[in-house]
Amino acid sequence: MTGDPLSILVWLSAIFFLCGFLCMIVKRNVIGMLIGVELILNAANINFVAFGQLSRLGIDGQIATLFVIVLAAAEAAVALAITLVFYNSHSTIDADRGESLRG
Amino acid sequence: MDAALQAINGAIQLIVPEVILIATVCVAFAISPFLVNDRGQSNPGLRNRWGVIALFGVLSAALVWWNTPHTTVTNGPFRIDELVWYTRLLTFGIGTVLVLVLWGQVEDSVSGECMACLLSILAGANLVAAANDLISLFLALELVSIPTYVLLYLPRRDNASREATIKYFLLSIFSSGLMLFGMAYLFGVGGTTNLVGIQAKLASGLGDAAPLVIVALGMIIAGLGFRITAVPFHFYAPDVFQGTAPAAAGMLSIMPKIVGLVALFRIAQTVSWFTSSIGSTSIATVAGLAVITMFVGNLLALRQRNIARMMAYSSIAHAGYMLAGFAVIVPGALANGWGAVLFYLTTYGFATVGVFGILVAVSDSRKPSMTIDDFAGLSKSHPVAALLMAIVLFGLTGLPPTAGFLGKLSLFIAAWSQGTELGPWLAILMALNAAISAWYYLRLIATMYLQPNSQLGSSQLQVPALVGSALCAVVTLATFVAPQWIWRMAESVGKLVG
Repeated sequence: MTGDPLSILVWLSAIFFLCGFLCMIVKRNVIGMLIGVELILNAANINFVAFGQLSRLGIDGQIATLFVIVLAAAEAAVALAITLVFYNSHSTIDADRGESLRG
Repeated sequence: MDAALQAINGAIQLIVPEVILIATVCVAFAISPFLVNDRGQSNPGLRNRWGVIALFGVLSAALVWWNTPHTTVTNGPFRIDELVWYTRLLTFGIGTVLVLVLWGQVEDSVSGECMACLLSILAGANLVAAANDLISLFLALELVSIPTYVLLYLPRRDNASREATIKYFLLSIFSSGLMLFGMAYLFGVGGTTNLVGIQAKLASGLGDAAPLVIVALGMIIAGLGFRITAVPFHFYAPDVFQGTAPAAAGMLSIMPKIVGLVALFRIAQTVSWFTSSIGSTSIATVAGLAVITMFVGNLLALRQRNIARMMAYSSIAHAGYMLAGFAVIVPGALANGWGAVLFYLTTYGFATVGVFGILVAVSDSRKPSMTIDDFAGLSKSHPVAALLMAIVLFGLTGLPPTAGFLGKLSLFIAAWSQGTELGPWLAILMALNAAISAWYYLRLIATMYLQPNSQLGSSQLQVPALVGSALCAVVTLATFVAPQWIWRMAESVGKLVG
């Protein structure tokens, strides 16, 4: 299972995924959670590129990665806008500090 | 080179209705910033114009779809089959109602953006069904979720709405990440991003890649579970439904479910879920999720006083019924689970959007959050609204003479005749849950008709939302009288299994 470049990359991406997952669970800060999600998305990107060399065309993994990078940028733009609005009203960006929704 | 260009041009012709929707979206996003002055205000009545434009966009896309012949295309970036046809039927029907419901709820200054977000959600839902590639499937799913974040915040800009948006956003993007990671493994095993190609590769034998496929399926089910609001991925739903505007909550109660179930079916087709050995573990997982989801949704709905929270738990419970239907899909069966799930989506979709339409129609902008007691005596102050509300609530309960009864019946028959030990148990639990759910729906009807002192009597009814709800009520009744047309369509999609 170890040795060849492909399995090293797949393990690396699994570790990144785990870091992102833990970051998402542990952090309460919205920006911190966003960084966790970016780690997960980039772990998937590493997988796409690593597996891409085995594919028939040889480029579809890289193309997928490009799309995901653009998409992550779009998500981050919306995320920062929402976070800014949240900060303006709550003066904090801790996701569990909102008090208005309980039941 | 010419052949590649021809293939791309040919692919565009397969998605003309979505191109029309996206073109309307571009026009709205490009023009609406210029109609607002420096202080963020605009001419009163602007929302009526955007409402008409959005309605025009949806209806012209629907007209193009209606005039396209039924074809089947399985190679290339888009797969066109009966499922795409049915999904378009659902999104254009429910989308028309959603435009009407959203119409009166948005401020004039942001009406263009809100309508544009709604139309891109509709286009995204259709593209999820048409996607024949991991990349286009993921992009279509994001075309649904990114506008959803904006739509949750814009119509009602207070602290509760900010909190709801940020909760939904974090969980939604997390679920997208999980799903993308699962898709990357699927790509690794299949060697191509084309879904039909992956299906062919997996059908030729898994070898030692079976664990990767199982991990990938687990992540994809978890990621889509967020959208379908399956327990244990449901916990955001009550807060978000309460915090956002009722029109956005109505969208949230149906569109992500259509998208999630259709995407789950496409993935299931890709891994030959219904015929291979991987399927049996996945089916057990989905059946387990379905049972927990039904019970949690219905039991927690019983103790809600806030109507938006109650509807959130109701939407969780209905997700449970649909997942139960998904678990009993058998290739070649006479009463097919997938046909029943799609028929149920239609009956549930119109009923739930109808309820939120009435919430919008009677809502008071000074008091955005409504409890069940606010509806006391609605039959005296607004008899038409109360009658429409009663019809769609009957539809959600599953009582005749509404389409909800036929939807539940078809799911029950599909589960009962499934052929394994699992089916009858799921059918019995479903019937039990339908009985529990009757309590909280009928309690709301009783409050409207039997209790005096109306709280909402003074408010002015919003006409577009009322028209939308009336459409929902008409569809709910008409589908009970003449279900053949929709049922035949759903049945022909069910034949895709196998």
